[in-house]
Amino acid sequence: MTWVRWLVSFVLGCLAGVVFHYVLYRMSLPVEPFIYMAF
Amino acid sequence: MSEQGEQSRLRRFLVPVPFLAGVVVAFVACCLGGHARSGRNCYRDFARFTGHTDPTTSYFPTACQLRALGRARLDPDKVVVVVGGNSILQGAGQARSEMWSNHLQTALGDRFAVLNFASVGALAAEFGEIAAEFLARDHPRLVYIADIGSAGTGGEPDGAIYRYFFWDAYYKGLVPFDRHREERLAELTAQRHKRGDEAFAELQRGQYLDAGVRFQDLWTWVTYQHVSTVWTPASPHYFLRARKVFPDPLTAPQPSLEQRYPVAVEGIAMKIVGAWGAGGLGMVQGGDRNCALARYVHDCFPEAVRPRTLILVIRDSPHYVSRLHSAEQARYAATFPATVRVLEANGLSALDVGGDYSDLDYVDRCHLSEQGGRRLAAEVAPKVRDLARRLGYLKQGGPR
Repeated sequence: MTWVRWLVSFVLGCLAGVVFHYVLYRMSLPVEPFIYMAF
Repeated sequence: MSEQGEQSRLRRFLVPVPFLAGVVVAFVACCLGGHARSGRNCYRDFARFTGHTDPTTSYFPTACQLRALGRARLDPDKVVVVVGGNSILQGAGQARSEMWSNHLQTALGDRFAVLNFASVGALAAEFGEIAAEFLARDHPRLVYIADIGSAGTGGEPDGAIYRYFFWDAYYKGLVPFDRHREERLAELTAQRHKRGDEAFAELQRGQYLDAGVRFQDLWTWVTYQHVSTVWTPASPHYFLRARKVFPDPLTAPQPSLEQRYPVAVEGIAMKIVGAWGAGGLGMVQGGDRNCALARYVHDCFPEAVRPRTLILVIRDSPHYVSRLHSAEQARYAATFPATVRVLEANGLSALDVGGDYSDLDYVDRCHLSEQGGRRLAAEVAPKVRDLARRLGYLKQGGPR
């Protein structure tokens, strides 16, 4: 069942790649709320 | 279970080579997806940015999205009018169908195409202005309109509140070259690094990385089109909904006078109006070409942009202005023609707006009502037409 392990590993890797790309987006969002929300 | 046992189970289950191949393939696919999305317009039926498509709800429209929107919406045969500036020109207080920029479009006619890129809190030389600069590459017959007044003025060449947008456009090669701006940016960047401005350094790093990896173009599109993954106080129970499904939240019946001018905010409103009288005059003191406002114009509006820019210097509601002491009122009234004079002396066109407006022309201290919006459009249209004529945009066979 080697091919199943390879396939599962590949799919999990794909998920990790998407999450990594998304994490970069989330890290780019400001931590502080937008200035107008402070009023 | 021991840590060793877990590791050996993971090792039995996962094969490193296909796992890493999957990571690389998916990451590259996301980058390519971001690049592909950045060239396509996602804003169908766009009228203006709203509370669900602006940074107040952690939604940051990207420079490429605005370029794609401009390319999809604008006819190269028409004179393009890009409206920038803040919520006053965005039409806050006006229903979507009664936005002042719609009336401006009607008044200008078919030879013009008006696009409203004004956004909450944006200064005259940021966001909409940067968008106007890169749209002018495709549409050289372009007029840019923004506003200044007690609701906002000043800023740096890379903006203030919308600094992310400038650096997004800058690293993606959308900001046209201007020697003076580059020099000021180099100075400012060095100053900010020297004083350890980590937030700025991070912003620059993030935008630089995004120019290649395109996470903002991809995930902002996902947020708008499919699912929002960012919680926001504006929609705490529905934050997962795609932003496109939210109706324009700025639509509302016109409020009564009591609702427009509540007693609770009178103190702060009077403080802002009084301070603008003093602060506004301070900006124009020291000579038309050397005062603080002149330096702001030279730093923030590139030379190529100034001739095609119209700045509306918008007064506050007479509900508050009329309550100032007579000396303060005189100072307040003097600020506007002086501001217009300095702007025009430095190569911009300017218009003093609101001198004869009534309480009913506003919905609060500074935002115009639907009635005020109609008046504004009627005043601005001849000025835009005149500017377009002077720039040679209306000649037969003129530049496309």
